[in-house]
Amino acid sequence: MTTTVTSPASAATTDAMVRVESLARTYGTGDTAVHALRDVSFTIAPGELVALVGRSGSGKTTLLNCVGGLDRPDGGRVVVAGREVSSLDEDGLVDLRRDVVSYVFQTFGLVPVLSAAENVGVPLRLRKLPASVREERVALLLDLVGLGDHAEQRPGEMSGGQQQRVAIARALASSPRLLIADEPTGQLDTATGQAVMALLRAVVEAEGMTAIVSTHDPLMMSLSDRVIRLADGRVLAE
Amino acid sequence: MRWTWNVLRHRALAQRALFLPVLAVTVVSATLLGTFALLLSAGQHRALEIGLERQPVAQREIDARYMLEDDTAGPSVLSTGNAALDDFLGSLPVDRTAWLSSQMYEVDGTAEARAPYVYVASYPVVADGTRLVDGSLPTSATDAAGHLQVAIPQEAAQAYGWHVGSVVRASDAAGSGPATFVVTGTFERTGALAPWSRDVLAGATHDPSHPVVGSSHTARTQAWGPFLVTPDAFTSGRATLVQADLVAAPRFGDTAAAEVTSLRDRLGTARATLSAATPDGVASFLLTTQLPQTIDAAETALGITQVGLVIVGLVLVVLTVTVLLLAARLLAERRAAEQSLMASRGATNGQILRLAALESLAVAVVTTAIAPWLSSLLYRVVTGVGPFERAGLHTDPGLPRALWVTCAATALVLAGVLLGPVLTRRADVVDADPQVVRRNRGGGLARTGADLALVVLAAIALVQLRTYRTPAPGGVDGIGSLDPVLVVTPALVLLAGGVLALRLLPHVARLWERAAARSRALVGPLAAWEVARRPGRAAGAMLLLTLVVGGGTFAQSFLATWHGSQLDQSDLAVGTDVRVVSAARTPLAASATVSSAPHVRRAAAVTDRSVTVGSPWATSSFVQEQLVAVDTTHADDLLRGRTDAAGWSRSTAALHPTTALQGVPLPGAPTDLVLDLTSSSTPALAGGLFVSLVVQDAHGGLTSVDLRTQEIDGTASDVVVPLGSAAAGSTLVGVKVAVMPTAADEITLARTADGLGLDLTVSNLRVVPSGGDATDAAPVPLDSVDWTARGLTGPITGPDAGSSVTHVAHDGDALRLSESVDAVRARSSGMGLFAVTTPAATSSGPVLVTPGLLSSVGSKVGDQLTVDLGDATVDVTVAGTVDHLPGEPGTDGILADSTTLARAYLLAGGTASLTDEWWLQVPDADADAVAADLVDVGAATTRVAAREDATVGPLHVGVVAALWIVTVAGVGLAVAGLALSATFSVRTRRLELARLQAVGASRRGLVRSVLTEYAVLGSLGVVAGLALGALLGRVIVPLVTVSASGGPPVPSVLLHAAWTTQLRLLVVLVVLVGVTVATTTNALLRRASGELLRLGDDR
Repeated sequence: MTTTVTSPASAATTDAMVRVESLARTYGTGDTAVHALRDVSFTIAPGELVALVGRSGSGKTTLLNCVGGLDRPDGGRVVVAGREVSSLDEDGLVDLRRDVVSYVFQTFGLVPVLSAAENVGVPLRLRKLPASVREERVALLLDLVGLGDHAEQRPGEMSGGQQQRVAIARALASSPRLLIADEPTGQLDTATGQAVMALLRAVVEAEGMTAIVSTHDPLMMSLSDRVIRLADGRVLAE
Repeated sequence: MRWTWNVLRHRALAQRALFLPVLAVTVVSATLLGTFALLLSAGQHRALEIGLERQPVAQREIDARYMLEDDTAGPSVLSTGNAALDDFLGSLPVDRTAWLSSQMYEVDGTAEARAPYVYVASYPVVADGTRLVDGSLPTSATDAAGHLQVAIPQEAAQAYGWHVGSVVRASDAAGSGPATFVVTGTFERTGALAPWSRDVLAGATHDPSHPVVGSSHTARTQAWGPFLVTPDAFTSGRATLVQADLVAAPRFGDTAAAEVTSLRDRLGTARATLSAATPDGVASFLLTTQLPQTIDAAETALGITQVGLVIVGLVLVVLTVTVLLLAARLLAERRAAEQSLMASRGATNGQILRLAALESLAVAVVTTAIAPWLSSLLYRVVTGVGPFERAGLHTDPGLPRALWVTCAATALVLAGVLLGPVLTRRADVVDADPQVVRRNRGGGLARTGADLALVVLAAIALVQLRTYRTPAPGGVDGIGSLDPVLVVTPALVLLAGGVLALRLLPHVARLWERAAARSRALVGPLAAWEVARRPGRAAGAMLLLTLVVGGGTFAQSFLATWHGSQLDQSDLAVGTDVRVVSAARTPLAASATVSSAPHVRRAAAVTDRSVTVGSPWATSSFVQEQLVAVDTTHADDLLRGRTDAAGWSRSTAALHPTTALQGVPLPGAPTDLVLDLTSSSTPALAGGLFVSLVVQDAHGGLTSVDLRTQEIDGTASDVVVPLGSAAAGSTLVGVKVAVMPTAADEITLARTADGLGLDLTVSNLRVVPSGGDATDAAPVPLDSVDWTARGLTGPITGPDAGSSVTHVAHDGDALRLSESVDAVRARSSGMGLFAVTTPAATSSGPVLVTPGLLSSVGSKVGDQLTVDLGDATVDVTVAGTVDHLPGEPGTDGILADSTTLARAYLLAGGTASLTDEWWLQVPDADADAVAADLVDVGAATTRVAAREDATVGPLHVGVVAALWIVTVAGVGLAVAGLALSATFSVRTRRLELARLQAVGASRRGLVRSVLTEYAVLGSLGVVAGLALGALLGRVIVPLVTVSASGGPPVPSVLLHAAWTTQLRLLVVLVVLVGVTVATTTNALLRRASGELLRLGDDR
């Protein structure tokens, strides 16, 4: 069952793809409590590519997890494509991840026993698309990321850059409205990283989607439409 | 070392969720095997004790019988004999009794022509087997006047007018001196006759025709007794001891097995040992005991049970080791990343191995400390339920050394199993991330070679087992006698089959993967990819299920087949519902008791004895074989036990009598016959006639009733013939007359040229009804049947056939017989004649014989054989063969119809009883009651009791326990193993599954995927296991299901599959495994969260 909660505030700002209001997330309790996010608020318009910047431990991944519904905040709220993520039940979150949001992980997040084509096809299987349609789209996406010739290779047989490109193709497979990339170049060398960044920029533009990319990479920052800086769980400036 | 200790401690604490299940599996495995060790040691010892203790006393007794020749030797014989028996028995707890009896005394002053006999005795059976009618039992040997105190049978008191205080004077029948008795009381014998077997008159208290001492049985008188005295009448020498039975019945309830073994060894030389200690004054010494055979039978039965236990225990070993291998492999996979990290930080292979070894050793130590206690507890629980408790096996086994050794050895082996994957890890590397299995070609070849070697070894063992047809070819004599290769065969074949089945997995997985590739959804394909691309992980689960289902199927098939075979063997061994070995004084008396017993639907007097069988034309081929003759016209009612033919009724149809043995009906239930007897001879003889009437009871048994010796004087004498018992439905079937010439008659005959002429007339036959006397006698016509007669020297059917002529005529109430015997023949072969109520036979009676007998006498179907029945030899014709004799499985011999045999026997001149046993058709529920009712007839064996003893008796029930333990343990191990497998599998893939959730997969979908994965593996394992179990059942179960002697059972094994039980167990297994895997997976996936993704590892 899909549950969509639309608040009056979000209804008033239907043009925002992502709206984050007073978001807070704390790990642990008492003296050992770690305030990963404190009173974070911002909005992202549709089609925007936003770079999320901050030192390690500044709360970037936590923020992305909360936006993508992989983690639940302790306070505040997140609205993505008109759905209040923080109040969605498990089925609602599944629908959100399947239909609205896609992830690109720093460690690629590919299933090791699946080939590149099978990895890319996973979101399409979740949508139960016919095999022929799925195969056609998978081929298209692999061509898009320049890996048409590596469709049958498994992640362990590919370079880091190639794996990340497969991950990007998988993220694009379900035509998400929001792409979340958590330091996608973190494990890549500079050249490969730049190529991946360029690819991300290109596919975001080509698919007309919104993207949030956490990064330390100045190139990514330069390619983004906007930069949100985090420090100690707070937004410093945009 | 400190570093190692710290690492171990921290890792155990940090990974307790991983470590504890492995420890639990190890403890459970060692506990199960420890329980088997208890079943094999304490359980079997207990079973031997209980099995022996529950044997009838007659099977456990040692009877040392001393026959004295010196009248004064009694006290010294008793003292020396008891001491010798005590020395022989040592510290063994025994019940000791002494049966002491005197010689016969002639009572003085009675009105009878020949003085009646009495004897004094002291018996242990008096307290339970008599009822005091008057006075009291003797309290001392003599009274103040020096008279021997006696309590006498009430019948004797009534017959002679004796009462309490009477003084009875007597003299030793052998003439050694006078004796005087004073009567202190009178008693009646009560209860069963069997306990009185050592009494001179076997508990009858009166014998109207007792042989007179020194008359060679030609003179008879009445005998009464026992006159009960106190034991000290003999020990003090006041009464003359002639026979002493010193009886010892060992008690085995708390006897150590070693003591039983020692006793058995001593029994081998008991006769010589006790005989050597025989004191002076003893004429003969006789040792009678069934104890060696009883112990041997119990130990053999125990050996058979141990074979089953060992076979099943080895199957359990395979299952437990497999589960632990699965756990060890998964543990190694989980530790792979940690070990890689340690190696990268500079840890050497030795350090890593030492850590693993110490960890395994810790598991072994903890297991050894816990498992024995749990084994002891489990043993008490198992033996405390149902049939095990009833079998008397419920006992506290304690913590014997064998248990500690077993648990410690098991723990060490299992710890070694845990260490295995660490040792072989270089050959099969699993990277933690990206978790790709890189197959090592050399390792694959090694595995293939190992699999091949296992299959070849299993095949060789199987061929060996099929060749020997038993796991104990050298006979069953404890575990040491088992052939290890043959005993391990089932476990080997199971393991080899499981390994072979695994070879199918990649092929099936590839087919599934291909089919799943075209699917739209993710659930099925994800499961297919996991199985097809991580076959090593999947193989463990499938192997476990294959072995559990295969082992369970084998166990249940073994149990059902063993149970069926035990029942079949019991049925055939008993042969009928209730089988009573006749110990009654006459078949007529037994027949009356049997007829009056409630719940008996049909009864038959049965001949079951060893006879000499041969071909009449080949005197060299006579053999001693068993003869079983039973009423075949009611075979289905009377006979039990599976026969390989079409059933007893059809297989014995050819034996049905064509001519009935119709005697002169004796109406009502007569207690006496009265008749007139007239005899004369030419020349006149001074000797007498010994006349016997042969009466057939309602159940076909023959009883020869002897009359008093008759004078051959041409005058009619009115003779009363006591039948001894009132038996309805009896018939008179024969009259036998034998001349008993005196020395003068011998001279007369020697001088006679014309031979001897003998005439006998039996007339005016009357029957005295029960409770009546001669005045109530009703006449019985003798001409209602056709009579055939023969001389005692040979059959005579015509007016002149050889040297004697017999004339038979009957007119109304008289049967006239006359004989003319050649004088020479009369002197050499005796004179007499025998008339029977059946026409002379025109052909010999049909019989069925076992193939073994046919072979040993070199005959074939259709041939004639002779059967020597002691006092007559009958001819029989082989009408066919029978695989087994009812009641005598595994014995070669002859099966005949009792009526046909009796007729042929009578025509051949036989008059002795052919009734050895009584076979009764009785409802199962009433069998015990009938056996108790017929205790006077003889010792009864019931089919129900034999079945119970063979299946749930203390000496056999261990097999049932073992097979159920393996079955239930198999289910438990499968659930535990698959839960472990699922836990490790999901934990190892947790990050991967979390990423799939991030991509949009629902938790329910992923749980379904894991369930699908296990469902497919489970289905493959179940199918392979069922096929493997069925194969084991078909090929091996008939070979390991053995008879009481360890050989192939008789009748042959019939395979039972127990599919209903199997199905129920499978449903339980599937439900438990499904619920466990689903619960485990769901719980683990619930924790696969964004935090996990953020951390980037799968802690």
